[in-house]
Amino acid sequence: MSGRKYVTTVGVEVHVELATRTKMFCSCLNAPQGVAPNLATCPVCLGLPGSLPVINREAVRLGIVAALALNCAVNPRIWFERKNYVYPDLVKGYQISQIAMPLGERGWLAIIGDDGAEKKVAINRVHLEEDTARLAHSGDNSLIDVNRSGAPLMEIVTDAVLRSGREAEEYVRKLRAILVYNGVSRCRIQRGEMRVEANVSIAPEGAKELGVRSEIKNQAGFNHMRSAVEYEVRRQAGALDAGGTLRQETRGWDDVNQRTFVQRSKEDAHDYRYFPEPDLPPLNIDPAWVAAVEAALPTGYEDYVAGLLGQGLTAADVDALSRNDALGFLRLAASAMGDKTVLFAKRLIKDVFALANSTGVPLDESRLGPSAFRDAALLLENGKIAAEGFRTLLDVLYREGGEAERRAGENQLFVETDAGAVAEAISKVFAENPRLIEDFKNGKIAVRNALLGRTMKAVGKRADPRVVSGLLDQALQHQGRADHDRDTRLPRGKS
Amino acid sequence: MPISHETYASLTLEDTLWGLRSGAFTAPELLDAALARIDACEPAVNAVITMDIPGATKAAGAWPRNGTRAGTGASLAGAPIAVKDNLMTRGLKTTCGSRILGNFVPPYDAGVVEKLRAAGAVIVCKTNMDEFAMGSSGRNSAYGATGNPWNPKLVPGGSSSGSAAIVAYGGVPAAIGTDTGGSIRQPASFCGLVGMKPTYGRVSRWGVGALGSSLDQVGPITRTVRDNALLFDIIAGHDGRDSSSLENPFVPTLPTIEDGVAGLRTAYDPGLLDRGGVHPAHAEAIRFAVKAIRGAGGEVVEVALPLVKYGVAAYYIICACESSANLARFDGVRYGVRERAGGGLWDTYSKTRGLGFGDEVKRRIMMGAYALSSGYYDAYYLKAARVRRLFATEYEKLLAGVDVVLLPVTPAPPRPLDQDCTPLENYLGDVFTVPANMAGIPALAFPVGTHDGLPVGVQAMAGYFREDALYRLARTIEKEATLSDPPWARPAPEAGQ
Repeated sequence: MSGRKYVTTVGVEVHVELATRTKMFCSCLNAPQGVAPNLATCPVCLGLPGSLPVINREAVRLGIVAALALNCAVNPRIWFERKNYVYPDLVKGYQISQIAMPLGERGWLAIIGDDGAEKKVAINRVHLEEDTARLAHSGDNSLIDVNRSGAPLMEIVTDAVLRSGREAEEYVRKLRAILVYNGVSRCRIQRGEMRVEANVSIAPEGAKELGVRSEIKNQAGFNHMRSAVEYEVRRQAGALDAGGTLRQETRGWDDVNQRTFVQRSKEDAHDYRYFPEPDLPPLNIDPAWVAAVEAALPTGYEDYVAGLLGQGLTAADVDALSRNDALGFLRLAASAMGDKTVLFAKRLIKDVFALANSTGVPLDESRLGPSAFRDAALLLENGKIAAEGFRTLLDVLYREGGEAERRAGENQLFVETDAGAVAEAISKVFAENPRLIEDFKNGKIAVRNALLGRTMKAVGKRADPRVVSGLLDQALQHQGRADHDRDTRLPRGKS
Repeated sequence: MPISHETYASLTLEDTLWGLRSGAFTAPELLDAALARIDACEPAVNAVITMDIPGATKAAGAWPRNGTRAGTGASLAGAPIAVKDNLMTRGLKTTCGSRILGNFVPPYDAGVVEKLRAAGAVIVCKTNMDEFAMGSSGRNSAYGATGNPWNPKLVPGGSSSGSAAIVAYGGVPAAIGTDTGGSIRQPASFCGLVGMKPTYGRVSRWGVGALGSSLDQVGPITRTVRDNALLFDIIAGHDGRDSSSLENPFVPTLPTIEDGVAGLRTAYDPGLLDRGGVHPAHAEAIRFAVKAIRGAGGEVVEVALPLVKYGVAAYYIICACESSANLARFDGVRYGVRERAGGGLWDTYSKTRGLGFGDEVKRRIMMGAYALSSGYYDAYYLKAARVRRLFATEYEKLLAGVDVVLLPVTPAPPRPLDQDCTPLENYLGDVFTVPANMAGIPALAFPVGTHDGLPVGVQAMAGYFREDALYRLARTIEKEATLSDPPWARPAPEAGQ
């Protein structure tokens, strides 16, 4: 296509909303579900005069977790700046952000590069800031929902070191997996919990300086980002090949027409007039705190994946877990790597992902938490509930949440350990099916299965088939002996 | 027993509390007198933006007799207090002296207001002020200028113009102001009152309409030093909602206020009084204070005050930068007065801010935005921030060797209300008050006498958390000072005088 060869350079900026209970600078709930617009607010996140911010310690902790997971240095003394600009979603007219001294700096994240070898993508910075309100436009009207205003946001910026849309996509996928795995953010793209921007430029091979870059805003997904970067590379090469020049500009992605379009040129660029936020004194990040956070970090993501493979899970299993954002879930469910991990992983893949498919609700949107899942799996493992009951329990937990034990009790899923009740059911079945009993006595062993089925039905889901089966066999033996002994007693009271 | 408003006007805060406790009068009776006095004086002075008669009546009704009901420990029970209109009051209009907040009713109380209410204070009104606390004359208010009760043709000082004026004419015995570069001390001085700018972080800024966030402090304005300490002790202390609030324990100042100046080392800069265009009466006031301190057994030494000539320039850059951001939120969309414009949102923003803000506010927003913009940041904001750090270190050094530094409050006495001056002339009047804000240290203005029918005050600065030393010193000098014919002891001034 093109006469000249170009080198592509991509840098990626990712914003993620942190999974904290409350907002970045006030105690309003962060991203509460089912709260009407503008009600999860207070003077601080409404930007009322006289209100003042207070730093959310949990947001800083999650920032430290992210910085460490991305191999960054955590700065021992950080501060916040005001980033000044006017927009209807920005209630104070400035965003509290970080510019001079971010929480984390100089990290890396390993991906498989275009050449097939491992590539460490240099991470320039990890910083904390606050989200804006949400705007909804309809016709001539715009509506504002301040519930999102002040939500804790983390920005992760790479150096300009990626070489293609594929590398950029690989980086963002890996980044997302690591953040979800470490519990930093749920990164649900469709909910705006993760937003991606790419800076793309091309330069003739061998050139010393980077070309003029364009910044592509807010792509809705990984595929979009890759398409947008690849389109942009083609567009820029076409312009240069045609003897044109490029302008530094902000572009959007038009997914319908599969192309980027100009949103803002450099001349219209904001001067953000950053200055230190006077309402927040610098924050000392105690090295002992960082050490404690580091000590409490889960096994590194890469090691965890390697560990799963070592435990006998297949690459396909791990891929399924990863695609369903279930690695962090699994890690929380099975605290130590071991045979339980494999067991839980298989249950997740077999039963939970099936629920995700049948209900259309992905795991991270469901009400099922890791500890409830673990408890449910252990109930099954310990024979407290049957396989059928386990599936019912998962279904309840998935849709309604709650604790496994309590839900199992409410739904009468515990196996019947009262052998008396089973025995009563057996005698009832025997009484109602004299023909079958007769057949059995006459050597038609196969009718045992029919009797088992009827007994199971009589006892209900609470019955553990193994228990029922055992008691049934005992009863049938007694039936045989009864002919000899004239003893019609059935075994009672023994489990 | 009912009390006449003339008698009420000269009661100190301690007098009112004593009277309430002893049963000489009840809180509702006191409130009636306050309302009568305010009614009589307001036409000539204009110290009030919003009266809260229903709220005050309700608060006073809680203390029908014997102010402190047994066991409540409510130390201000029944006392009428006025609050500057940039402190948020739940359910009561709070304008910050601006047209843009002309309809703003906050849903919450400022930290200081909470403390006042908890102590049983009867908040009578919200006082007039220079718009968003920008100014030192009281003339920059969207609700009309305030007159000086000593002479209504003169300015009362600002920006806490109404809080000073209402205490001076005897509408309330005490009021709350805010001080970013002298806005408590300068009007207190112009009105013959005591005004404290506390250590930065000592009093909560939660709910205070911000001017320069790193400089703003809330403090009391009263007629006596003891009243000032009493009120300061109530409003000071940690507030977790203000991240700049100091966590070290607060030690009340009133218990040590009569300890005298023995053991206190006081410094002043004689060179400052001879140079630099200080009015002779203001220089004389310092000499009077020095004599009083020595007479009471205190030690006085001479020093050269550092950095004074850089203060105003650096202060106005920092304050303008911070306020340019602090005022960005006022767009008339979520609250405040919206000026609708046909051309859509951005036109509405322009019109709202264009009509809503006064000239001085616009001037500072532009100066601040300019000083922060790319290419100018280093030359202005950064340099000013460095000068400010020097202030902190130099004054800390100075105050390691002495307990208190005496200096004038202002170079000159109050100007006529109708005299226009350039912004720069106004800014230069803050030369002696901005150092305390730049360094974050406490400073107290208090009167030492009268000259040509006007009060003359001095200012004392101390090291961090040493409000106690300022009160001890001022209390000692106060005993030697006389104010002749103060407005709180006069009949109400006539309007149009």
